[in-house]
Amino acid sequence: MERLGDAELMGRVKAGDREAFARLVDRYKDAMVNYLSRLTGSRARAEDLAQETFLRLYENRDRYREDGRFSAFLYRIATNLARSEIRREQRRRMLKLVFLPGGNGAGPVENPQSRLLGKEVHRKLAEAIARIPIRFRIPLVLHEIEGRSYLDVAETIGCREGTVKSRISRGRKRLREELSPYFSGGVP
Amino acid sequence: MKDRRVDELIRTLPKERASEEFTSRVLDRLKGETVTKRRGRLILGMATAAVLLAVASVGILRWQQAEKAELREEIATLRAEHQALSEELSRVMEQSARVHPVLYLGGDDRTDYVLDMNKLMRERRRRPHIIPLKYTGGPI
Repeated sequence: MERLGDAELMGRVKAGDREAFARLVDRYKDAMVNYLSRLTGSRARAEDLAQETFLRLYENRDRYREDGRFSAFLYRIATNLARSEIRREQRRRMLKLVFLPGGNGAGPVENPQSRLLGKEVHRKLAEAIARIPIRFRIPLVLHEIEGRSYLDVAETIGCREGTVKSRISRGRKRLREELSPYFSGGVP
Repeated sequence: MKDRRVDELIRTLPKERASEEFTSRVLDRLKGETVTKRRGRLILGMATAAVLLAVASVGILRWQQAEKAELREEIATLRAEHQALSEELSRVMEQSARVHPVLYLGGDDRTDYVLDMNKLMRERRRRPHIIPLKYTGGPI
């Protein structure tokens, strides 16, 4: 089963083979956790979302077509879940801001992921990525961090390649702006 | 800050890895959710069946009640009609008992000849051996 391709494993998953499903989980779990960590800015949330992604994959196994790329299918599920989660988080922050005077509500909350990152610069980078608007963040993370091609990203988020390039470029600009205080020696 | 520095920084970002128990957790959740869903489906199915049964029972009950009401109405109408007919009949019988039937035999401007049938019948009962003559058109 080790040598089987994603499509073949998915074929088996469709037939109810849980061992094949476990193989796919093993194959993509690190990629998913890494991708979702960068998107959400939280390692713990990423782990939960990645698990949820695989559960959704199993639920929607019949929707997968063999002519489609499996990884794009999986990243699409993860992206949709992350998008919903980030919006929920934004709503929660808004509510905190409204109901808890004194809470600033802006900026990423200090989380276990941040503590786990040894280097300060990595923590700052992860925070800066998490502050980029979601429509730029998703293609930026998929392309720059996950190393997926423009075409792949376009397929995953369901837009044209040109749009992907433009969003990545704007995302990079935002990232530069976010990071500039740290690199110019200013106080963040 | 140059783009190159951002690229370098991104490249140095450590890759996050899934926990050791990740796959087993996913499989456990899958098993749990499957059981929960199956249970949920069973409960939902039973609830749906119960609701359908209740709706059908109420429907049948209402239909039966409507049928009964219609029948009751029909019976009431028939009874009323029967009552009206009975009253009409007794009125007619009463009236016929009061009126003496007569047979008009003819007459002129001054006189009418009538045969009192009640009297005739009384006579017949009193004297049954007398048989009335048959009129043949000749002089009486």
